[in-house]
Amino acid sequence: MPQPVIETHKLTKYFGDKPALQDLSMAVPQGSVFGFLGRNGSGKTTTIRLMLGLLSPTRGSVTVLGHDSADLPDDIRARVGYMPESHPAYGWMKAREAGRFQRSFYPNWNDDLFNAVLDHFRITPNTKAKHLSRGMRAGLCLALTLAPEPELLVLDDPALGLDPVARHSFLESMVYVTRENNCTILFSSHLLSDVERVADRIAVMDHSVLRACCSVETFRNQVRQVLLRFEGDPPALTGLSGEPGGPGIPGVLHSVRMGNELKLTLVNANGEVDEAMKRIGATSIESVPMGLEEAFLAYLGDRGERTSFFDHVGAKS
Amino acid sequence: MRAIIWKELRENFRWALLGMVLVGLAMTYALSKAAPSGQSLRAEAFEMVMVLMTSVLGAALGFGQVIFDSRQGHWALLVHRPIGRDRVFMGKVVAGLTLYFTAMLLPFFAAAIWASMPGHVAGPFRWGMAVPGLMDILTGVVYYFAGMVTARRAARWYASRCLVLVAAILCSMIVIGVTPMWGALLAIAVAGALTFTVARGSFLAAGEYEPQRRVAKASLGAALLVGIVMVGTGVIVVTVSMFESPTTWQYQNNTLLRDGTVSVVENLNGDPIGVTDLEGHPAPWFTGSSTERQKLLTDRRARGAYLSLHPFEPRSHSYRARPLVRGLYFAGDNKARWYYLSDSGRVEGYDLRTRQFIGSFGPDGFVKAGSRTTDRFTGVRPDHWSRNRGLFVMTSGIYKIDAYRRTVKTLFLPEPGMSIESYGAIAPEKDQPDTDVLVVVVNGTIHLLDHDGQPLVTQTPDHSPPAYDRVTVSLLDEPNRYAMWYYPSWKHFGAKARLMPKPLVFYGPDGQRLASQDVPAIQNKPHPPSIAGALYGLVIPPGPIAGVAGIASLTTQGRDEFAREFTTKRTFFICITLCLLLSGVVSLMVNLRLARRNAMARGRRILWATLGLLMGPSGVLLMLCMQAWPAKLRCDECGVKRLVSLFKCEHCGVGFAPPARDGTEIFD
Amino acid sequence: MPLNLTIKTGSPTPIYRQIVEQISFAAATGEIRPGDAVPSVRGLAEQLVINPNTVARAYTELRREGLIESQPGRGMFLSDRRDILTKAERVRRIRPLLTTLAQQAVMLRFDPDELHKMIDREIKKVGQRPNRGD
Repeated sequence: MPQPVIETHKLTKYFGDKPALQDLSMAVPQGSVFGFLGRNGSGKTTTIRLMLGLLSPTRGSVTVLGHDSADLPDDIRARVGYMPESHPAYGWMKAREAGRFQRSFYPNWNDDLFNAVLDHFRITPNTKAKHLSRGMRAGLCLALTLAPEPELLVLDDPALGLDPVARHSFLESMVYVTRENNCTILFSSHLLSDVERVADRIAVMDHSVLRACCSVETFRNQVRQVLLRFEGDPPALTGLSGEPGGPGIPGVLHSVRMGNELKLTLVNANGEVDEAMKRIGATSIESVPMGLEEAFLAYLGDRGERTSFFDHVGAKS
Repeated sequence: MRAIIWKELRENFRWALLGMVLVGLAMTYALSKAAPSGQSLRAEAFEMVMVLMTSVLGAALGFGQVIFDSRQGHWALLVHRPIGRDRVFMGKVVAGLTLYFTAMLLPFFAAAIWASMPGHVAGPFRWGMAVPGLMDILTGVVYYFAGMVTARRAARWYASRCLVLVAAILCSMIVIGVTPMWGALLAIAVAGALTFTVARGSFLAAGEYEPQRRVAKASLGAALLVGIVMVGTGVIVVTVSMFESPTTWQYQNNTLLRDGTVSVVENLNGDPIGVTDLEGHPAPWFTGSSTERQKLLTDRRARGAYLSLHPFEPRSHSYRARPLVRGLYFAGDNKARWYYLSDSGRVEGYDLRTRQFIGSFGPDGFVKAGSRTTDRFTGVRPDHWSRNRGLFVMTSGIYKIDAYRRTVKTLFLPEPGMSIESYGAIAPEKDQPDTDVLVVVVNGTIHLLDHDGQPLVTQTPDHSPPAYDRVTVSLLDEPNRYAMWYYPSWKHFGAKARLMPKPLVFYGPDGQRLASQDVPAIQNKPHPPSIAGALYGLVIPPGPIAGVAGIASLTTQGRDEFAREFTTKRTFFICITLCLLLSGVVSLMVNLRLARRNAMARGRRILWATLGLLMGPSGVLLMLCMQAWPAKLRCDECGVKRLVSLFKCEHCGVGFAPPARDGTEIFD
Repeated sequence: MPLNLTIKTGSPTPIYRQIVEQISFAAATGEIRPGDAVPSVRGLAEQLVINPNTVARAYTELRREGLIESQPGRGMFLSDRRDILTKAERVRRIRPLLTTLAQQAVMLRFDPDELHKMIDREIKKVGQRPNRGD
């Protein structure tokens, strides 16, 4: 594996008494398109801000392109493109002025690329940023971020608030950027379809803790859904996360009971799990196909047993 | 950096423009109020505008430039660039100060030019009058940086966030109050450098404390400490005035009566309540109601003038009085206003209606506007000398100026090569206007002149500096005599002077010595300090107090004074010293405990403990508002709360357990 | 090269699998023929707006199955050796679909003959899909 472009070491950030990020250790390999997932407030933006040295960690450290983020030298910053959350721009600058402004800081500047991105988002260079629509402003930000031809692109929720067309343009740009072989992209998102399309690795944050960091394929393979059928009522499951003792099944994210069927969503299933399922008296075990989005929802949704909504209604009457 | 400067100029020029318009309006208003009475740049209202506007505009620009770019996304947009954060900061500062100076200097110079044009102000104009205004404008730079700190430093708004602005107020106070100009410049330079370092440190660290450099931390500490002490002093003063009961103020003093006897007057809160002779027998005439008694005493008191026997030495004047332009009031002329100008050495007059220059007086007389003259008053003009209306007293002579008739009359000139060393005037008898007597000291000799300058008597004093340096010259009657009462010099005898007898010498009308007596010094009991007042020692920083006391005890006079104060106010001194010690030691312990509990390094512990000891409660407050206080968690191993900022528990050395896993993690 | 691929996100089938299946199908129906060039990894990735690694993964799969081969310096081509899958493997792959078909047929009460005829017709339709351009 090539040298990681970003590497965090037990990175932790507290805001007052509240942990925003706890003991994050992960690496973003060079050349990867790295999807950074998690619900709102799970610590994605904090992590990104720490990576770029915009915040200082409570403890731990992070290196970007081999340098400590606490003190990134100028030449390293020039190689990192960063698009902050919610596409900030200086409202009074015209798109062209914004380009000229940005250009004066960077040793590299691809003006054709800049204009191409503006064109793509149908931005006239004489429009002031404050008069641009949300999607266009995002396009301007993207143009400003891409034109210096960074080798590491960090995009904080680039799709936030964009319509499908603008989102598609964004994805196209990201795929375009990977044309440079060593270019790495890290982007945070809520949109699973985007992640599925362009990411090859993902990291999942939940409540300030990293819960998964693997390739998209691994994630897809490790989260499974099975349908168990029973003779009578399915037994109550204890220890959903696989604590020893009791008729538990390891790695269950949640279960839904429907009549004499039990639908389980599992993580990291192996032979032991199959045995456990047989042990609790399932007469048949059937795999249910599952998309990435479902897998993700199951992974980050509420854990525990969920009875079907209709059962619930029935139980009350 | 050029691009940053361009961006900042572009973003903030409209605020600067708004500021400039407001400043211009305020200046116009102040000038329009002051100009008819002859004032311009030195008018109180105008100075107030300068002080207020420079500080507000400076602070607002600094604050605005930083606060808008401190929002999350915009902060990233600003600082994630391949130029150091330092250059971003410098770009901001260059642009901000350019805007500030433009916004302040343009209206200021416009005002100065307007005031310098004849017919606008009924008073003289000199460019030197612009110096205080320029100092105020420079002081605004301190506010500018303080505003930046306030916007960027991560602190609570209701607590220490604005303290650096309070420190800037101290700089303003020094600039306004200090005498020499270099003092003002020095204050601005020091405060400017300090606030610049603090602003830069806060900006580079995005408002956090720990990542800052040591210099920035120290500067921040100094600025905050100034703020804390200032706010603390204000709070103490207000509290004292709220809770301290009004005290009675009783004392005795000697008074020379017209008949030549010395009596002792007992005063209560400034009113005489009893008169006795030196042996303590009450004066029989001192009867009646309070007002009647006061009138009786006033009628019997001998007319006199109190003056120094030291030759007058011109002190350096406040740069705010430069060039010396003093308004003079000559009776009987209400159509013009007169000023003495030290640079031209003439008394200039301005018509109050047309606000035009009328002409000027020199020793040789009045010269109309437009005529040239080289005639000038020589010497200097001590401010406290000429209280008499119409008299114009210089060290070179005494003149009577009749502004209405435009005449100058010379009343007294010292011999060539000599100058008037001291001057005083004995007020006229009631209802007899021309009975005033002028007392002039030339070459150590006292001359008494009548109101027309005719010499009455010339007397070599019996006592003279350095032992005796002040004298009261009194006129006595029945028989006509005069008395000179000499006071021992504080400079010469130190605190002892207070206890020494004061020689009183009587002279006849021709100057022959008649008699003399030594009047024993009255020993008033010092105002007893309240023991409760010693409690303020609990909140006063002990270090600086000890420093002041230490420096004072290095001088003989300070030592004497201290010994005397200590013997008379012993309990108070012991109490306040104990309070100071107590507050210092308690603060030391509080700081030490805080530092220990937060596992601070040894050096930092010692530093905070020392600051606690020296600064008392201010040191504790400083530590609280300056340090970052990381959250704490209960340690899994030893059960004691540990800091989240350290990898290893400060109590048992165990690391943090990685987040609990439940088997649903996916890593490859 | 008008190879018309579409991908669907959110489906249980991974994107690389969708590409493999669609290219296999196009080859089976003669839509593309042996010797035809397939789009470059980069080109297809940009066309479909997906990660190039995904395309590369699909191509690796196709190469493993012998469906395409790379000629150094010229790109990827559809290979003419079709039957590289073993009989057993082909049976394994068709079996789940047969099971489903059989289940549905029983449920909808088709008799086997009727079903056979329908299957024949369907196969003919797929096989007679017009070949490109000529």
